[in-house]
Amino acid sequence: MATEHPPAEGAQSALSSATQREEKPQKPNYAVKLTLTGHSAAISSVKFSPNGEWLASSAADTLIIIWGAYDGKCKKTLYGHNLEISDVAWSSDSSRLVSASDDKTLKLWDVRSGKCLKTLKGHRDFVFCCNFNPPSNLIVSGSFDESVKIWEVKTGKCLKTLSAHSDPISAVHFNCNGSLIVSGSYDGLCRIWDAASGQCLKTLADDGNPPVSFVKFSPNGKYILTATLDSTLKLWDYSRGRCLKTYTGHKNEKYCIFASFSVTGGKWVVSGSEDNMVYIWNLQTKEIVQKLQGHTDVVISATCHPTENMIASAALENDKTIKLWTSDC
Amino acid sequence: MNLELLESFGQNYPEEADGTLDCISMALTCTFNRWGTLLAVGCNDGRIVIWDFLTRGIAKIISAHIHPVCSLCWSRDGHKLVSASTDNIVSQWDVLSGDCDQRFRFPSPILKVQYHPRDQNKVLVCPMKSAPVMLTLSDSKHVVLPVDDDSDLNVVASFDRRGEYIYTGNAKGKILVLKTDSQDLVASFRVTTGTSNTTAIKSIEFARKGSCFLINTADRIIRVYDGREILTCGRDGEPEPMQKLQDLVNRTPWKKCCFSGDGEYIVAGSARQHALYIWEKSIGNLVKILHGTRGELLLDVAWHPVRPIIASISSGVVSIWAQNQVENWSAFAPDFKELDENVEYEERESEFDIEDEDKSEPEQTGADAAEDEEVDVTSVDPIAAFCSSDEELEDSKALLYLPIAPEVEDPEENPYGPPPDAVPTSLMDEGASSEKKRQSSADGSQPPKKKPKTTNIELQGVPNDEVHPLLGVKGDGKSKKKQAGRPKGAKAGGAISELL
Repeated sequence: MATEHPPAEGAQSALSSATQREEKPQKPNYAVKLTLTGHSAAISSVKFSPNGEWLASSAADTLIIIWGAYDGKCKKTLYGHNLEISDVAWSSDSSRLVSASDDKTLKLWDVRSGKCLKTLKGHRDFVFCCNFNPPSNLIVSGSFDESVKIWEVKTGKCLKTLSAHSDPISAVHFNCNGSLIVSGSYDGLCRIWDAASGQCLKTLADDGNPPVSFVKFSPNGKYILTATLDSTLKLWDYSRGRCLKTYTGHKNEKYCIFASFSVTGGKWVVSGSEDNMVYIWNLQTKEIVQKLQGHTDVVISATCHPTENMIASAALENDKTIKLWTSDC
Repeated sequence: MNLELLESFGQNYPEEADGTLDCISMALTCTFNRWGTLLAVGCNDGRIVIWDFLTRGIAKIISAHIHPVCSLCWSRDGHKLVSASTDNIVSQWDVLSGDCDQRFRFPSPILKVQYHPRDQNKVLVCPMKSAPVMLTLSDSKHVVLPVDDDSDLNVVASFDRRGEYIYTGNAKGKILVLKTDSQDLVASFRVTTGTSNTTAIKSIEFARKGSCFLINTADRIIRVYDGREILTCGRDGEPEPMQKLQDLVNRTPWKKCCFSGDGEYIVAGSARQHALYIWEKSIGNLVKILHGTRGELLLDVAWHPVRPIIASISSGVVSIWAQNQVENWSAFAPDFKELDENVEYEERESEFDIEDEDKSEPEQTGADAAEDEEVDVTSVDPIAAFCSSDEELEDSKALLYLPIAPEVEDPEENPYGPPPDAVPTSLMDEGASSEKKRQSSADGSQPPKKKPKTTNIELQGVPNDEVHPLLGVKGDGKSKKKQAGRPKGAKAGGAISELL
C-alpha cells in the first residue's frame, strides 16, 4: 500500500530553494512523496534497480517485496527463505536479485517470474551482505562465518572463499569495473581484494579499530565510504590509505546502517541513523544539509535512485515502512 | 582494473599450470578479446566456444561452420568475430546474437584471418598458395596484395599494431611492408640464415604495445625487430634483429609464437612436444620453460592481453598457465611489511611503556588540509592498460562480457509458498520487455534468422586442390599423420575434394 503525502509534510523544511537557486545547489529539499507498507517485520535493506524502475526491499519477515519506484505499488513478493533476510542486491540489467539470509544461504531470483533460480549454499553461519559484479556473472557474499565467498551466477558454484576477517562481515561491494572487492567487518578492518585471484591487496584500519558496519566504493571506484559503530562515516582514498572526509552528527552505535552517494543532483552522502532520521551531508564540505524526519524507528537503510533525485529509506520493527523522498536538487 | 594495486610478487610471466578449459568439442585455435575477459576457441566440429575467463565457464557457443574452425579474430570493440574454416569459408559473426553477418568463399584453404586493428570493416585473409587478400566487409570487395616473387605464393601476412602497414613474408625470406590504404611498398628486407641462405617465413606476430614484432622462420630462429627500424631502412634494407631467439640444445622448431600483453616477454610453443619457452625480449634470455603432458602436440598459444596468463591448445584441450598465487602478507595490515630475511629487532626505549612518553605531538595540520580537498566521486578514469597511446578514451560501447543465464535444473520446491491471503501481485511492468534482448535464449520465439550474404572470392592462379594443413597432406583422402584435433574419420577431407 502506498499513501500519498502533500509535498511539505513530514520533512524538516530547508531554506526556500527559490532564493538559493544559484549555479550550485546548496542544500536539497527532500520531502516525503510516498510511504510504502507491506512488510510485517523489521526491514533490513532497500535497493533501487539500476534501470530506476523498481525498489526491492528485504525484511525479517523472510520476504522480498518489489515495488514500483515511481508509484510505490507493490509489484511482486518473493517467497522462499525460511529465516530473516539481511540484504538484497540487483543485477546490472535489473532482471535478477540476490538475497542473503540467516538460513545460511543466498538465493538468486528472476524478477519477472518471481521464481528462485538458484540457492547458493556453503556459508556456515548467517549470510549478511551480498552484491553482484557489474557484468553480473559473479556474486560476492559476506557472512557471520568471517568469510567472503565469490559465486558464479551461471552454475551457482562457489568459486572462491576468502578468509577475509576475524569477525562477522558487515558489507561487501564490487567496484565499477568488477576488478576489486571491498569487505568491511566488525574486526574494524576494511580489506580490498582482487576479484579475479582472491588476493588481498590492501587493508585499511582506523585508530581504535571501531567495528566497520558498512563499506562501499564510490561510483568511480576511486574512493571507499566506510561507516563505523562510533557514529562516523569516512571517505577514504584507498590507494594511499588516507581518510579524506569525515561525516558525523548522526547516531550509529548498534546497527549496520546502509549509506549511499547521491550524485544525481548535488553531491551528497546519505545515511540512516538510530535517532529515526535520514541524514544528508554535503560531500565536499561535510556539513549536514538536511535531516529527514518521519520514521518511528531506527532508519536501517537509505539508498539513492540512479537517475532521479529520490531517496528510499526503511526502518526497523516499530515502523516497518519504506519512505520515498524527492527533492529538486 | 587497478593495476597499480596489483603489485606482482612473482615475475610477469606464468610459472605453472592452472587448470584446463574442457568442452565437448576438440579445440584447434584460440584467441583472447582485447581485454582478456573472453576467450574464443575454434573447434574441430565447426563450433566457436566463447569462454568467460573470469568464471572459467562457457558463455556462448556459436555453431559456426560444418568444418573445423582454423582461425579466429576478435574485432576491436568485442562485438564481432571473424572465423575461417577448413572448407575455405570466412565468416563474420555477431557475438551477442550468434548470427552470421557475412560469408566469403575462397578457392583455397585459409591460413589466417585478422581484423584491421583499428577498422573492423577490413579483414586480412591469408589463403594458401595465394597472395594475401584484404576484404572490405561493407561492400564485400577485396584487394589482392602485391607480392615480391610471383612464383612463390606461400605468403603469410599481418597488420602492424595500428593497422597502418601490412607486413608480408614469403618462402624465400622476403618481407614486404605495404601501406594499408594504398598497398604501396614502403620497406622491404630479406631474412637470411647462415651465410646468405634464405629461409621461409612461417608467421609474423606483432606486440600489443610498442612497435616490436617477431618473425618465426623455418630455420627455427625467432627474430625480433623494431618496426620503426624497418621503416627507416626502407626498400631492400638490411635491418638487424634486436634479438634472435632459439633453442640451441634441441633445435626446436616453433609452432606458434606471441608477445606478452606489455610486449616484454615472448612465448613460443614447440612444434615437437608440449612445451612453452618464455624469453625476456629486452635481454633475450630464456626465463622459463613450461612443460605440458608428454606426447601431446601444441596447436596454438595465446598470451592474455593484460595478465600473466597463457592459454595453449594441445590434444583438443585448452590449458591455462598462470602465476603461483602468492599471498601478499603485507596487504593484510596497513603497517605490515614483508621481509626477505630475518632482521634483528631493536626495541625502542618506550616500546613497552603504557603511556608513550617519547612520542611527539601528532601532526594536526596535515590531516585538516587534506580534508578540505575537493573529492570527485563520479568521473571514471580510463584504464591505462586498455588504452592505446593514440586514443584518449576507452570505447564505451565495447562488449566485454556476455550476459549470463543461470542454469535452472529443477524448479525449486517451495514449501513456504505464498500464504492464501497474500496481496495479489500485479504483473510486472513491460518495462521488462526492454530487458528481453539482454536475457539469454529460451525466451519465447525468436525472429527468423536472416540469411547471411555469401560472396565468392575469385583469385587468379590459385590451385583448387589444396588441403588445409590441419587436415593432412595434400592429395590424401585420409591423413597419415596423427595430429591433435583432426576430425574423426576422413569425412572432412573427402567433403573438401567434393566441393572443389
